[in-house]
Amino acid sequence: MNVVYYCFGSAHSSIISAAIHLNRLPDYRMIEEKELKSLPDFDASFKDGIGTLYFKGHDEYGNKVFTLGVGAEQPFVIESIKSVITASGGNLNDYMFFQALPHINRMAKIGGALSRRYGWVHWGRSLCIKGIVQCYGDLIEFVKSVKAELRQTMEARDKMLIKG
Amino acid sequence: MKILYYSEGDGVPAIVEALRHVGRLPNDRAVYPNEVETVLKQLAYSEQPKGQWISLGKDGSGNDVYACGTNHSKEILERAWAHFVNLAGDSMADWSWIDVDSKQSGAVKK
Repeated sequence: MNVVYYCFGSAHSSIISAAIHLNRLPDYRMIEEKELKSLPDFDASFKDGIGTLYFKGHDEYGNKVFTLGVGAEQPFVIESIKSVITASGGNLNDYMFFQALPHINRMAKIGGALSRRYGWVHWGRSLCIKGIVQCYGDLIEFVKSVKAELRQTMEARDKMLIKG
Repeated sequence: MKILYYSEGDGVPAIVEALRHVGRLPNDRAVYPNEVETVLKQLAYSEQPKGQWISLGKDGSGNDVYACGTNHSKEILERAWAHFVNLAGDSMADWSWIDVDSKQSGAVKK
């Protein structure tokens, strides 16, 4: 299974979500600012990176985990990507797309935009980190729900394989 | 080979070019808006989810022909498509991508 966390620029919410998913950030406690700063791909993407699929690693079930920035037209872009997968002979059942952006707060979004879009890296990154520390519990819940859905989907597929 | 015609916005110019490619619209003259509207209705274009491609079947050489709009996300989609073609196990060499906006305009009579 290919698990794709997507957000605006693949710099913040999708990066944190993928890191929690891959157990590179804790899912049992709140986070400290220095832990976020130590993530090499946090607040690191550039405009040219929007639309680029980044492979982040395999999770404990063997699924491939990716992040993707899709810009402002998120449902539209995802629908187009599903079309290219199908036209390329891929099976949409092998892909799961999860929108990470709604799971961070306004402070993180504003900070992220200041840093990545407007180049105010010092102020923007600092604000973004404070915002993410505040809403980290929501991100944990989000990733736990993703993993629960993933487990359900994988179990359903296993049952179908056994029946088939 | 697979061929995608694409254009900004709702993709109507791309669909027109793709329809000409597969012979469902005339190739030797400009088409009229009512001709385009008729075909778009037949394709149930307005009922499709926004962003989804239209499959127009095969051309005379057996190529699969598609069309889509890119709204305001053309550059993003151009990058993303390439990644997902590879992830799906397909080869970019099997694809032809035609950006209709960069071709000459005037496909549809005003």
